[in-house]
Amino acid sequence: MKKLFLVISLASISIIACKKDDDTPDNPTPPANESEIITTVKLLLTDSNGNQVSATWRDLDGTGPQQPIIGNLNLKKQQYYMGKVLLLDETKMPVDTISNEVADEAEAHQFFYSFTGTASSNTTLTRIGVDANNLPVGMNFSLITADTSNGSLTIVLKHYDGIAKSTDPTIGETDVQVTFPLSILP
Amino acid sequence: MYKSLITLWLMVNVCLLAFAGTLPPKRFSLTIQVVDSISGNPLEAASITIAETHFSAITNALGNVRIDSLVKGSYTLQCAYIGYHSQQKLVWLDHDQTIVLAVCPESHHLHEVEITTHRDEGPNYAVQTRSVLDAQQLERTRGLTLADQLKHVPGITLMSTGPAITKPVIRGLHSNRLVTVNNGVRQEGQQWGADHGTEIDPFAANSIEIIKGAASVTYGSEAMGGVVRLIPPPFRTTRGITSLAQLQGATNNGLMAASMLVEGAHFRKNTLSWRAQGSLRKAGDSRSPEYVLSNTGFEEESGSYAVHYAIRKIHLEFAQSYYHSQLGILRSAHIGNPTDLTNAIQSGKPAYVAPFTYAIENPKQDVTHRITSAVLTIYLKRNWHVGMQYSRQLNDREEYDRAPRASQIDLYNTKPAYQMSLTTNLAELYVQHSIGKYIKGKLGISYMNQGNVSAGLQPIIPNFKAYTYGVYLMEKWQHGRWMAEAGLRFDWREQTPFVYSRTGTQTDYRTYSGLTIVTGGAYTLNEHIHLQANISSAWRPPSINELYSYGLHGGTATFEIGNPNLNRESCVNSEAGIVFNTADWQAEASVYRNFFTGFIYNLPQPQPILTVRGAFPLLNRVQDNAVLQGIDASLNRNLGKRFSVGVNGAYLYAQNTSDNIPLIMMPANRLRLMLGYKEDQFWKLNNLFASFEYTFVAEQKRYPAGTDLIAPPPAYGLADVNVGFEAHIGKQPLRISISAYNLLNTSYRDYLSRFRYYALDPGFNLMLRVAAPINFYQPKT
Repeated sequence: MKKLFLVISLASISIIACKKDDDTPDNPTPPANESEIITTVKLLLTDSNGNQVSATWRDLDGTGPQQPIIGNLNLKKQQYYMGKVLLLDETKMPVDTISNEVADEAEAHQFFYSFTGTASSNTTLTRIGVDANNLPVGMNFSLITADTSNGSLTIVLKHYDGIAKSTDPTIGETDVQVTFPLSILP
Repeated sequence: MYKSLITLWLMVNVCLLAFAGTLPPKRFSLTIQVVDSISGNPLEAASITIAETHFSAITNALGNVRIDSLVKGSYTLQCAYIGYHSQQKLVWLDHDQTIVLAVCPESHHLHEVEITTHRDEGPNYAVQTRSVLDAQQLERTRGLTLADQLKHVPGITLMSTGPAITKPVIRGLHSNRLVTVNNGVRQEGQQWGADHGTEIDPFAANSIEIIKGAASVTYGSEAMGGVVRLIPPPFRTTRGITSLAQLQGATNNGLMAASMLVEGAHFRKNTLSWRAQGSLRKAGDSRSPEYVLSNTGFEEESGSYAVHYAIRKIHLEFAQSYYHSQLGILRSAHIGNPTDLTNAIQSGKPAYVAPFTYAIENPKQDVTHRITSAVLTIYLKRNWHVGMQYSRQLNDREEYDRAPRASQIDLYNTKPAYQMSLTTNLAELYVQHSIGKYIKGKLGISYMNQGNVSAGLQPIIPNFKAYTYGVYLMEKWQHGRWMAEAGLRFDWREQTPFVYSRTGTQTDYRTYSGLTIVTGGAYTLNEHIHLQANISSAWRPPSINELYSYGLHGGTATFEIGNPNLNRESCVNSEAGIVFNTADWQAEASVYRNFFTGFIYNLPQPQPILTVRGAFPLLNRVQDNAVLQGIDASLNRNLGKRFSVGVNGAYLYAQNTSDNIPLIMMPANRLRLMLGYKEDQFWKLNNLFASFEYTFVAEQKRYPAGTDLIAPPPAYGLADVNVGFEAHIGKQPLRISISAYNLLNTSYRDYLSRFRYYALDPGFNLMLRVAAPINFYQPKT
């Protein structure tokens, strides 16, 4: 009988010994915001007279429930613009300029631009700048406008991770794909 | 938690008090007759061993052995006979009795052990369609993933996320509608994810039982779609130490696998039995017929041990297991947005293909699962025993993503994109009992608490705490040719998630409760025909991910949002089956209809979600009524002593009856042809076998239009060949088998292969297996 008690006691002890106290804290710590989020895409354009135009695509909560706020890009007809794209992570303090990292890794990135609407036949966009392999980067560009028109401008940033960079826009992983409403005004 | 332990402790003590009196030393005799389970003929010279008394004897010409002077108690009978599956049976002895042990020839699949005195067998879903894969069948598929081993059973298919991450699908149901039981413990992982494998060492099972249908009464509410039960080898009962060493290698992915099982038993009285098992599997990239599937390798280490100690009527078992796996995710399936997915589909081949390697890069999964369990069984009297089980399991899942910029590689290599640590405590107490002569039953209570901690760069499900309380009763009546089974279970669940958002943490306390009913009957018409039918009603609470998941699903470029307003999901499943057996013919068929109320699934929303990477299709969890009905059937014919031919198939019709459209991602219908050859002895080789199998998988023509980017892939057929034998090197037996999978190197994509958008399924694979049973120490009797 003693043996019996011994075995049962051992069993009970082993059961209790396996138990830790509380496994799940009642107030979980919020997730650390360490990963890169591109919250903001800024288009900065300067015409030949030095006038600046900009448009901003901003989604501060990333994939959160808030919808992005998208600014209009308003250009003037028959103008020559120099433009650049700025990618920001505005959730970080100070604001992280992701486009600097993209520029550092130019061999693994490429920007593409496309127009829709009547604006597509009234714009001529030329990407400026090449990487070490003589392939376009496209963070900077020149833009010539013709007549008044409407439409949109889509900016795509492709990322080549282990894949050979090519000018084919169907290759690579998409890091950014945002669309700005575009008006070419008189 | 403390409360439940105190209750457990009290119950232990009450049981102890019941045993405080001394037992009268009365002696009984036990007569055992061994017969062939197919022909019914008595078998001479079969060896019978009783572990507890260390008795062993050989049957006489009538197949009988008589053992006298046994004290009242439970005894483990072990029967071994050349050419037959060895058998073990626990017998309760409290009067002089005769037992007939029917053993099954090795030429047949091991079927239900038929013993005229079903001593201690309680209700066991005998009226549901069950399939068992025995040790021999499992040994011939060792090295494959668990789901791959099961997929030959009609009605079971495989869902995969690359070649290494697979999970079984029973009659169209999977993930949190199935329960996997590993060594008696319900496996609790993050099983909801279609891209989450089974997280179990496939070497740990000696046999696998599959219940196709609601088995929720004893296994809990998630078992509404079925149960996959991995059964370890029974403990050794005779003294000595033996082991089984296994090695596998495969050509397709350079698989190297090794497993070692050591079992021992000590002491003549109060036997102490134990087993320890360890296994390693390592594989590199799989290869499709046309290209390497880059970053699909895996690395798995696991081990377990169990100790069993018996003092007369008190049996104690303690077990611990560890499983760790690192699994690569196909590199090309890592995409940026839906445009990339469309480009991948249009290009028809993976964007990233590198030479074969064993290296595993991001994206990858790193999974650890630990289980500790203790079982105490007290045999009270004939057909009565009390069982207590406590288990604790820790499941840690880390998923690593690729770094968006090279400057962040260090961060992404050390920090998972998301990590979930799930801790589950399960306690169960049951009384197996008998009422009168014909009824045996099980009455039990169960308790579960579960806590999840999410971490990582982008957690997708919240932290939560959940408690489940259940009480159940299941009775089985068996008399003559008739059998009936009925079970009832009530569950109550409370859960509190801590949903993090920008405005702070919100708790959302909810409770769910429901009743589960299983009922059915079986009738044995004659020695050839057995009929069964059952109807069951089961339910499950919506899972945490269905309620609160929020985030992007990389591989499918979709955005999934949980729905906190989901109600419970319930089903009514009816099924009828027939088993036909003669010496030459074996046939089985079952027809089922599973009607769901509030079936939870993902519905694409008309408005996509706009992110900086573009617009993603938005999926919302919704509930509708659905029906899943079909037929599983198999037919086998022996052609003489050596040859056999067989065919099996499964047909499934799955429909959303609220909207009258087909359900998405349901396995296609399939048909399998088998040709077998076996030879008991050839030259110096024993148990030779060769088989050829051809599996035809039809195109899934039933899918909801417009919800998938690509139509289900076309039909395909795969040919497999298996050859094996047993040889001796000196006195050491070796079992060797070779399998060739996808013999013709067919290029195909399966509909349930989640990476079918990106790449083909694997091609030709030659696998070699060697198994060596080693006797370390065998004391003379």
